[in-house]
Amino acid sequence: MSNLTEQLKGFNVSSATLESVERIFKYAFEQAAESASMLVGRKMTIDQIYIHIKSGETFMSQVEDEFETCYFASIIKTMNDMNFNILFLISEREGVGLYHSLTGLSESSSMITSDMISAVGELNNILGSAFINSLANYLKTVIHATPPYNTYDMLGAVMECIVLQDEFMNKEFLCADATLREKDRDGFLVRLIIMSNKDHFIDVINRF
Amino acid sequence: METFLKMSEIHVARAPDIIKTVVGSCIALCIWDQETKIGGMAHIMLPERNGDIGAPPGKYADIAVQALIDQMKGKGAAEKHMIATCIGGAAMFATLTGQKMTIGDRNADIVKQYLEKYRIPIMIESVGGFAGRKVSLNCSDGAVTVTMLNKKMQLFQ
Repeated sequence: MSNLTEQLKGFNVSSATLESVERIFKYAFEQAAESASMLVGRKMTIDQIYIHIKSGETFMSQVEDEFETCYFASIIKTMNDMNFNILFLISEREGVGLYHSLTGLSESSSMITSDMISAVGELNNILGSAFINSLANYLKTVIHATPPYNTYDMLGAVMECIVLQDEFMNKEFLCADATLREKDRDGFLVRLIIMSNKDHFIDVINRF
Repeated sequence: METFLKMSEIHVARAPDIIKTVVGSCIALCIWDQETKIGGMAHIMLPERNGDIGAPPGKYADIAVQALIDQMKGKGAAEKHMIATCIGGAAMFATLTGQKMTIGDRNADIVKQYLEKYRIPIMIESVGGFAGRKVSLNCSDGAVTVTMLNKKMQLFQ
């Protein structure tokens, strides 16, 4: 039994739906890794995908120790009757490393610049678009999304704004963590959070 | 002693304690009694309770202001000596949502209305904008320090 299946026990969800959810995430991450590989001209892979279901309140309490830590964050929202927030998070240290890996620039300067924020945000564009395309392909429909909004700030402030803006505090949402890894090198832990009301997400999948 | 305030929490302390938190769209309401040097902070998440009976007292602006004042009075502070600082209410993702009145704006409005009701003057406020804030209240002198990433501001009450 997969981790997601374990977490969804007790909810009225068929095993076929669960498999679909897991397949969409896995496919989305694979597509994202392929796009990232093309961007940097080196082979990037995704591994250790971990999907959780949690409430905004649980999520916030689990990251409390990192509230003062700075993160790169990027968010894309889907529109119409597909209400997803695709949030990409990467810590300052990993984001700077990833930026240097993407650009091939030296690691001598780690000052955060707007270029750095945009470059890391671009990765969310790739990961987020891969997720949206995977979902759209699966559902055989068109999903419209906003351009990414990129920022660099304390994790507590970023998460507070997102969780409260869409009133996710008492709702459950899906969250997927993955490691983006360059072949034979250490990986970068990225967190791609698909914030959607769990019931809405499953409803969307069941609709087709 | 330093205390880090989590979302929805209220904490009251005396000099020389320091109370800290990080806010985005939430409001860090700091109240300080100039005579007793008792200080308190509430990390307020949302504007109105709307029937959420079991909510922690610091969660909603419409109940948090009174709850903070009451806790301070319980420790010996007096309303007539209280002064307030209101920090937070950022709208980091407002451009995505297209909302004119963000949750941060609404939080700040309600807090200010209630402070006015209890006749507690707001000495300084740092509300709105698009960035998070690290806030600390020093109960010894009522100084509130606000850090926005690398920008640090010392706000004396």
